[in-house]
Amino acid sequence: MSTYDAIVVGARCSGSPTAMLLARQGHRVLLVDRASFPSDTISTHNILHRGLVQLHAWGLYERIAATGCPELNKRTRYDDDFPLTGYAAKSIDGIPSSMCPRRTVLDKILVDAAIQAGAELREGFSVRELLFDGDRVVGLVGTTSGGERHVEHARLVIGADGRNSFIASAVRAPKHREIQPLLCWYYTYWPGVQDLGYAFASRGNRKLIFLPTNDGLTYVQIGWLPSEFGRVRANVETEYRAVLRILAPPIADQLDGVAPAERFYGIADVPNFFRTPYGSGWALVGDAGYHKDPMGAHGISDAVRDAGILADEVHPGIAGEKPMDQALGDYERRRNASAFPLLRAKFAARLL
Amino acid sequence: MRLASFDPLPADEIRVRAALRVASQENINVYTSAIYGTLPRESFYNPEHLARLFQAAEARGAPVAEQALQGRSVASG
Repeated sequence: MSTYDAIVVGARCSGSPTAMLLARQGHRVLLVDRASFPSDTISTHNILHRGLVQLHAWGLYERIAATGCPELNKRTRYDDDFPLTGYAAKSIDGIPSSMCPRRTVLDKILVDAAIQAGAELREGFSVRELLFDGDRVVGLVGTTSGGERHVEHARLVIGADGRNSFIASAVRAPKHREIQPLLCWYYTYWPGVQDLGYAFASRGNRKLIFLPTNDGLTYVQIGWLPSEFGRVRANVETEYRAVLRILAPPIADQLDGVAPAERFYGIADVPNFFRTPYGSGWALVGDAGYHKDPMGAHGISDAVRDAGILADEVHPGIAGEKPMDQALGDYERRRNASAFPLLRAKFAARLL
Repeated sequence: MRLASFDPLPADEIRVRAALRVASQENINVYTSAIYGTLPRESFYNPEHLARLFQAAEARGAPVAEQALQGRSVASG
């Protein structure tokens, strides 16, 4: 029976970097995903400066920049009726304040980097069950898109499979710090408005995020209260344009008479929670371990940060230099120390 | 499960944003860089710089005194 050092389930922005970093340390890693790459997914797309710095340290920022994805240094904030436009300097390492690559672009770069590092990739692979030895996770069973069944064993199974994580569900990972959904969102892509740069607008319970991305398109996302989702869905484009007109009239003017380049993508279920991110033989990273509203667009940057922390802590665990439970406990402490301040800064919560 | 709402903007930040409405482009750029992480936050948010910013705004007639801003709603993000 062949045993991997780690199986990473989910090959997007937390899974692929985790696999890449562990493979770079010489560990035997299997990376699986039900998708085949390039592959799109619902996302806010934005990578904050800290995320780009992390990707730069891994040698991946340059690959994203090479796709022609614009640097988002021009930033306009619409507070009430007043647009405030500033130009963020690049940091001394030449990294811009943020970039917003399409997920078809970003995730492919990350997957390729994991393969290049030596991870074994299986696309079109769906995990069906976890294997246990007592309480300890020791592997998984999955099927290929052709229906072929595979049984794989590992010292550690890492769930990087998103907010509805199969791994988290299978190990019954406890949730904590749950906060009700704040908003629901619709987004699409628009041609011809990249010169406006990054924009953000907020008034009451209406939010706008405007992010130039690849292929000359701009990602424009609008948020409403979750209770409004049904009404918005019934007439998306009209509702979307009406809010755009209220929040950012100059943008609405430019998009008048312009057809979106793609359909409208809706996000109704946006929970905010932490999960305990480890147990015996398993760990969670990215949205599987910590999910929040896309407001602020922290998701990808948090995912790559946590991938770095997890790989950093798990390496000595796999290498036998540190007990694995202690390594994973250190991962949780470091993840929480990074993530809790953001949660406190963004949300004011009261008990129901 | 907790019920959540977005935090209201702190009073100091409301003052900053009011002052930025009449600030120089250079000041707005430093603010933007500090907010989005390409310059140290302290390059904008230091007491001496903020004092100069508020003083300049008041000289231009911008309502940055704390009492003038009470009750004004400005969104965060």
